[in-house]
Amino acid sequence: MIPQVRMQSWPLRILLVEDEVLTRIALAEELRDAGVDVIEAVNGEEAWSYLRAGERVDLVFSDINVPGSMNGIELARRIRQHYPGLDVILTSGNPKPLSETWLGQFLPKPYAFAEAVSFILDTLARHRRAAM
Amino acid sequence: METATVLIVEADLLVRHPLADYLRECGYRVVETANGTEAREALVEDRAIDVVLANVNAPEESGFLLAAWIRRHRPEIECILVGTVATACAKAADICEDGPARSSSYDHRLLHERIRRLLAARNRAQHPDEE
Repeated sequence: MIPQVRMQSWPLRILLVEDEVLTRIALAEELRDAGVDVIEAVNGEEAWSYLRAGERVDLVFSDINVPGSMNGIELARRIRQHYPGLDVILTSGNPKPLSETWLGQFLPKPYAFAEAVSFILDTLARHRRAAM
Repeated sequence: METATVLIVEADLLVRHPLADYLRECGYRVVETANGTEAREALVEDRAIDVVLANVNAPEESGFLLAAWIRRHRPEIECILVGTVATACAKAADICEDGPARSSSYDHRLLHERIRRLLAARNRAQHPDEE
């Protein structure tokens, strides 16, 4: 059973970037059941526009291979540059999708949704402890 | 009372997410999709969807086409098309002439009321003896 988590007085907010609609819907529902507020983006450009609109986000969980001119790696690079305190978790079915310079979290596909939710919440918990 | 499920079809995340949030706060389960292709995938997979809320002025595929597909494949689903007739006409003209023109009209409370009335009417039709 996935524990409900509230590490602050408002719900955690995750920006989920995934172009496979059924995966995105199912993972978003699991996260909402765990008490997380989820914003669902279909590609990197949409996610970036949401961030640039000034909306609060606690973590970005992005598939690397999303359509459009901005894949997950480019999105993560821009986030590192403009929002250095924002956690990013990348995911992919490619066993070696990232260069050795990637310092963030990676969750390989396929994943069980419960596993993904735990991974996300654990990442947030570690970030909060480090910030205190 | 069973929770009703609303499927939103809207390409603009900054429009889609606040609407979805509002409808969740009203007690609906909400499924979010960005276009007709995603919506059809969700509709094939998820038999629990009760209402589809689609933007007629979607960039890749008109909401009218999706509504027609729903009528053929999922006739039990209520469909609400959102957008202005003026914009739809202007978009038709855009295909042949001028530059893009886009606006949409989402009044969250009006949409919620419309969803509520559609579901109530469907419930009455399915359970006439309960009146």
